[in-house]
Amino acid sequence: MTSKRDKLTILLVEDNAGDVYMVREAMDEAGLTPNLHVVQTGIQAMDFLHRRGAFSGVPKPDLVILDLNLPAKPGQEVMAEIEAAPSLRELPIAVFTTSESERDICGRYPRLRSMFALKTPMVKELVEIVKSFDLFARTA
Amino acid sequence: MAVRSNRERERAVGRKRVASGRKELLAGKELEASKDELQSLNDVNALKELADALHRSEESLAKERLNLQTMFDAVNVGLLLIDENGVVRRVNETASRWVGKDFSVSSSLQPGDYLGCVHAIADPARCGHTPFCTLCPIRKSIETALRTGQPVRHVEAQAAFEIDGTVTSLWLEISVDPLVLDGMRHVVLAMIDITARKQAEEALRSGEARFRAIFEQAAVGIGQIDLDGRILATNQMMSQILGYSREELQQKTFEEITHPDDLPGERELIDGIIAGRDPFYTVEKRYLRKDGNPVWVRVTSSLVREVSGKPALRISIIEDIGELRKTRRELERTASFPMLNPNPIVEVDPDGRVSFVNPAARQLFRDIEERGTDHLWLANLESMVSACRKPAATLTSREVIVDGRWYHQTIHFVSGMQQVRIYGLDITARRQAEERLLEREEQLRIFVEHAPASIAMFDTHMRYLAVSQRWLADYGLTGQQLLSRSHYEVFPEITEQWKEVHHRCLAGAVERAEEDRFERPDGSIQWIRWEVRPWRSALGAIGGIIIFFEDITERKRAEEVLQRSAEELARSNKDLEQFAYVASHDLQEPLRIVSGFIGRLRERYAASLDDRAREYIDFAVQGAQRMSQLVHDLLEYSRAQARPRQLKPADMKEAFDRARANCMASIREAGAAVTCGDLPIVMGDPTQLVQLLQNLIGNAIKFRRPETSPEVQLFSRRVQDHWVFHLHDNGIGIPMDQAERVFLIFQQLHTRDMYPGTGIGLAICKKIVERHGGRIWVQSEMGKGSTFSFSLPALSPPQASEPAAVPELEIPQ
Repeated sequence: MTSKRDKLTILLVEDNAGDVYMVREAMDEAGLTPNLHVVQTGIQAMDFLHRRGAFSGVPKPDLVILDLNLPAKPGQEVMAEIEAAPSLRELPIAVFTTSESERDICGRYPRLRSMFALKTPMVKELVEIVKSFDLFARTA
Repeated sequence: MAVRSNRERERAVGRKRVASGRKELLAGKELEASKDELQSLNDVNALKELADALHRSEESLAKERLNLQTMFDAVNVGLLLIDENGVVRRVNETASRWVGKDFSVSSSLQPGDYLGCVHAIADPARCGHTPFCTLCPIRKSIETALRTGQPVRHVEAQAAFEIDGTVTSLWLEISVDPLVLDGMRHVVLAMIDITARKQAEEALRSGEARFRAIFEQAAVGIGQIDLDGRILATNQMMSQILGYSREELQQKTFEEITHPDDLPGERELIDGIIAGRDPFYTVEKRYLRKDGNPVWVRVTSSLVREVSGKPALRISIIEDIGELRKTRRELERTASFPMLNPNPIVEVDPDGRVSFVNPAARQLFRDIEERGTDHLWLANLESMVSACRKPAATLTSREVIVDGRWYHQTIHFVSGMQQVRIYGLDITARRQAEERLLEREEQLRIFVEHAPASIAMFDTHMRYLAVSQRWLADYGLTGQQLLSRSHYEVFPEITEQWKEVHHRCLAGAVERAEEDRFERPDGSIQWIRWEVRPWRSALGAIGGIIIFFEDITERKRAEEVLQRSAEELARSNKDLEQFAYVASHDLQEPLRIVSGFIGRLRERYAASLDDRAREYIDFAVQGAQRMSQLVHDLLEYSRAQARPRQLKPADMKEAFDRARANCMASIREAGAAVTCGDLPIVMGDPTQLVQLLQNLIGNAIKFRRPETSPEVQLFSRRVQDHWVFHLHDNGIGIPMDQAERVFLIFQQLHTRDMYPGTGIGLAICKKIVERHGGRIWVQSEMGKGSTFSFSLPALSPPQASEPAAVPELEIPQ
């Protein structure tokens, strides 16, 4: 609904380096060149979003790509905290996870703008997914 | 003989003495004048003069002699002239009449006789009854006067005389005056009859004493009250009635001790007697006793007037009529009893006729008067009456039944009236209650005795009324007689704590413990479930208590084991959930990474790899995919188990249709015919039922015989409270020795080349059926086909414990 800059700022919350690699590759392949920040834990994600500590000078992201299976603070908690913070509530969140069983997570946080995508080993599928993330960030 | 001669001598003397003319006349006049005085006997000198005169004029005034003699005789005083020898010289008629023969031995004392003993008859034992009896007061007085020459006066003596054949006791006052006649000592004995006076005195004396006694000891209260109401004098009884001492009463007025309500009425009555309208009044009133309690009395009060007629005081007689009133009321009550008595009362004459029927009896037994002793209520009365005619008993009783109602009869033979009174009391309710009571108690007793539990029934004194065999066995008392024995006597070691429980339950409490821990004397732990509750008679009264005991030590132990295994199960379920999570995330992720990068290797570097390298890559991809499939299936399996068990009415036809639709691709590919018969609604989880049927149908198609069109049919059959379903196929069949194995996880009978899969499908089916409380099994013949059967719970009537089971659909029969 709001028009976005051409170059999006995306925060990828993902502890698995393989997944991070594959997302970057898929974005390249899709011709997307966002300003991609990567953090590995839920705690870091919240610090980034609140620009606290080591993240004091970071930009405000246009999209958060959130894995659920995270060390220390699982993705569900991250979502709950974002929903609870009025300044962050508008932030589009793309839940990107391994398990089909988590598909209903977006319904559990109705005040958040969120989408759900299942991780896949297939390159072509992954390219389509990152494209959908980009579209979601621009239109959400 | 001697007496006779004496008399003659006396006569002679008398004739000689009645002489001396003038003086005798004078004396005669004096005699006449002093008649009254003589009667009072104050002056015996006059008598002496009279005697002198008599003597002097004897000879000269013979003519007047008769007159004098008449006078002498007429005097109501016994007069005798006696000489020193005791010879009566003269005697007047009065004396002659009195003394009779007892003044002498002769029957009538005459002049010349000796004076005999006077008191002889009055006291014959002490008297020799001789003419010279020294004890005789008359004789003694005469002798004293003769000896001393002095008069003896006013001697009172009682003497007995026989007058006209009757012994009479007389009181006499005696005076003896000595005188000398013809040179011979004489005495004049005068005796006056003072009997009347003595009697009057006596009467007066005893009358006063009697009055005092009457006043003091009267059974009624007597009081003198002046006109101002002050109490002047009271008797003993008055104090007793009022509780005040005599002295206290004399400080009071009658108003002060009269009940205020009764005062105005009595005042009017008092005015009445003072005004002279009434001689006295009687009133029933209340006095207030010293202790403040009212006492009912009857007062009769009359006025005492002075000689002038002026009212002086009142004398009141007070009777305590408390008892009387009570009796009177009782009498009134008794009189009204038969008429108002709601119980039947009948009186019967000796001839069997009914002489009285009270209203209650008339209402109950309408024809009792006409039928008399023929009436059922009076049947066999004769025998009852003869029983109470015996002297020892006038009362007897019996119970009779009339028109289905029981009556207790008290039969009273009124001996004076020769009548029989029958007092009836309807005791039907009591009889019924008694019967119910007995029945209830008996039922309880039977129940207790035959209960397959440890039960004992006690009365209110904790005595055994009934005891179960189990109780006896549990306490090692089999064969012992406990009935009527006290619980505390049988178990002297019973604790105070238990006694308190019994006590409370006897007062109506119900106490119980589901699990009560006891330490046995040997230190081991015993668990007991117990209950103590009162049992009530049909009338509602507590008849005692019932004690129920159950040794639940074994059960408790089993429960503890069960509890432990339940905890273990819960823990392992939790582990399983944890596993499911791990499987879905932690195992999947590395697999995805492996297959992702190998995929990219093959896609991007295929040109630079040789065939062998490509083959390696293919195996690696296949392995990763297989691994991923296994993890996925394992997850399914664990979910089938972890899913919450929520059974609701589920239409099996619907589940079948959905399962068939899900399998449509393979059905089309195989050209299978998948059909069903009539399918019921069962209790189940619809999603799981679809999965169950889908797995079974999928299997039936997958394991089809080559060159054969698969045919799959589902049938159902009702068996008691559940449905049994049979899914029949015409596939390759399963060797029956493998029939159990096919349901185990990851067990496969065939190579994956021929029949791909992980071997999880039937394991999930088994899990689902078992979670529905059913069973799954297979019957098969190699090369012909298999029949997979499973049971599911039928639609049960809704139960409180399963609110989810309320059917929302109309159930087709």
